[in-house]
Amino acid sequence: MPSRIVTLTVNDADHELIATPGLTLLAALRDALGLTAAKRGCAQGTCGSCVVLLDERAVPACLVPVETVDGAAVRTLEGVAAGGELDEVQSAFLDGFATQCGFCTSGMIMAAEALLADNPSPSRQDVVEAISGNVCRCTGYEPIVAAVLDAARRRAGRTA
Amino acid sequence: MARLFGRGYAAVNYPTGMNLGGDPSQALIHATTTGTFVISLSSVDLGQGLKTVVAQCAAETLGLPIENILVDTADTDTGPHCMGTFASRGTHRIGNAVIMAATEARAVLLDVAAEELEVDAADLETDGTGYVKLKGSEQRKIHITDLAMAAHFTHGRTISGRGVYMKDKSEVVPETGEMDPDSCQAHACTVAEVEVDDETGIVEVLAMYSVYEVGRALNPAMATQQVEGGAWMGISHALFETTEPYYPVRDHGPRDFTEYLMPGAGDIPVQHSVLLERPAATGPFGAKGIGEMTANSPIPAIANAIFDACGVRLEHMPFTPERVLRGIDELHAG
Amino acid sequence: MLSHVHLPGSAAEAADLLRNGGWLVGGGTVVMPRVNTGAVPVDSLVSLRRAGLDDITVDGRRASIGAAATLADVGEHDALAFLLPVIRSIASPPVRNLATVGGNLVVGQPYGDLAVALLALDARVEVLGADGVREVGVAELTVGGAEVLTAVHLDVPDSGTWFYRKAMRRRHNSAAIVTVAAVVAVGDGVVRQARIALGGLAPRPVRAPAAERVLLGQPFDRPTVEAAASAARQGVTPLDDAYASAWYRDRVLPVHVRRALLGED
Repeated sequence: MPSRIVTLTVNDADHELIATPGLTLLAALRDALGLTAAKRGCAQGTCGSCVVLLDERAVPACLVPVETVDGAAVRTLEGVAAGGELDEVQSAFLDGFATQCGFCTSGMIMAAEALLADNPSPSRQDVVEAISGNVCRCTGYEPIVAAVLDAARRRAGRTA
Repeated sequence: MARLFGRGYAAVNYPTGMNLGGDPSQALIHATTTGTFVISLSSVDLGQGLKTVVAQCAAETLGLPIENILVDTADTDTGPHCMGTFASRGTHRIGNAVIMAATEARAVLLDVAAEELEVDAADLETDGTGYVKLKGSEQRKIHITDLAMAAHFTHGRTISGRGVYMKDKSEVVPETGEMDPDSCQAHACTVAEVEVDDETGIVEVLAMYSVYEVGRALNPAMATQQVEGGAWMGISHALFETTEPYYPVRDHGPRDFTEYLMPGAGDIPVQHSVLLERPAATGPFGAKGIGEMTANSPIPAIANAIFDACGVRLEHMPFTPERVLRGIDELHAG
Repeated sequence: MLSHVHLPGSAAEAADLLRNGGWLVGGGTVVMPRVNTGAVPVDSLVSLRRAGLDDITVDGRRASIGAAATLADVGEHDALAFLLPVIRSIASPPVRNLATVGGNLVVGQPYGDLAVALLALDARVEVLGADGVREVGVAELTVGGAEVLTAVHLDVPDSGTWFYRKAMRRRHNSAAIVTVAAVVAVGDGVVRQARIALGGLAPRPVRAPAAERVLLGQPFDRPTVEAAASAARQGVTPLDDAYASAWYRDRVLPVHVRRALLGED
């Protein structure tokens, strides 16, 4: 069972890891690198709790065989706060009570980061579509949508 | 071919906690030497916000800022016993236990402060910003960080307290059937407004109005979250979720979160929620439980709204587009 | 238990590897759930991530889309803006960032809405097999165990001739109850060309020839469209699944055909 050495740049730091055949990006992040913000929800790519940024695109990490993305850049929730200070999305989630059990939160925030990087002033519909792959059982989604729109306003205020 | 508007409502009463053989929870509070008050529990915060609510109860009782409270929870090996967080019991049982522990700790706090300030404990008050002070004076005061240090290193005292709240088991009076299994009941009413597409049977919930009487909303934002998150779950159960779409035939059971249907952010109604307060005699600051009940009344409210919209009376969940269409067909045939 | 994940640098290399067995992986949206549950009957995967099959070129009206281009890639291409509603109707952004055009062509209904659109567009699909490359239409497409889809070719329809609607149980990220894709061109007041493809009703996308015949030569107005919508049910035997029953699909098929062609909500 030949394993391969895979290099990933995760949250701006280079890592070498041993990938057994079929090891997913999610397993590599959580088990090899101890980055446990991305969650194991369904292993089928249908719940969104494992969404991370792969070369700046939101993807379900449980669907990516890590050997196929050797050399890629990954960002997880652990790499969002710059210098220990929560960013606008994180702050908006906190202030807006947009999290209860927290299981969906990592995936939601990463989906939101991908949206705002691409579209700094999203409409409500844009936000709804951006998180359409993320299941939440607790909040009924409204506080999350509101938080993402709030984050966009905060970020626009900061760069204005 | 039309979109038919309908409105329906339902009401619910919901008990707090369990009867069983008694329903207890315990809490311990102790101050560190820097004035942090640690609440030790083995109760679980599953995201409903128990840690926040008990921190509020402790801060309010102790008369200290909430920043001085640290909730240490969910180690069932070491923590004081809790029956668990279910049956909508958490705020009520654990909140009461924490208040009892904080009450005892406050008495010690004032006692030690009285020695430090050389006054009577009865003449002391807390100002909510971290000071214990002589009533009517601005100079005779001591900050909790200094007080905690003094308690430990000068006076050899622990500023701590113990708490337990148990709902006694209520037995039935055999002659009359009377009993009192609930500590209190919360009450709610939900109004649902829907639109039924009479060509596809699709039901869309346009708006949901919820009123909940919860005794005391210790944290109104979180209580509203519980109402609205629960309303979403009620809608999901009413219109979408099933593990056996062709019951009693077991074919085509959903195998992942795409086949197991739940409404997404694009399918949610506008929600309007109001909290009413009629404090419960047994509740922590009058609070009642508000947990499971929030998924209940939305379901019959939606069923009634569908009936109002198109005359179809559905009694089996989920109220799928097919069931609505078949109901409309039956009405036209009859 | 997997023993190998291959990363061939070309379609030919991928086809070679597949001759020894194993499964092709495009975006992984169908294969990786099987891998994750440990229930794969093969011991190797052949990934198309580095096979150079993700180019999209549009020359005038002629578009060529690499089979390993992602749905997101297609949705972001300016010259393929007419396909954006199709792309947006499929799954969710994170899945679309992985899912490939080729994968969408081979996954069974009620998934595979781009395939329905490609059928309506009369797209040609290139398949690399042991005997070289062959070109087939979407309806006849079968892919052997050691074959690789390489590209899809289509003509961008004239403005105002493209119609698409996907009926789902919820607004986003759900499989098709019924998918309707159509190219209908009008000239001199009557329908000159009509290709209607349907999804969600059979294991593969199907055309609606009876509906097409109703439209041809007639004014493209409500009465004609309603008649065509009714005719769409001919020859269709829908399936039961977790999303809807055959009864329901058959019942609402004409509604969604009509709404698609008349642009109704």
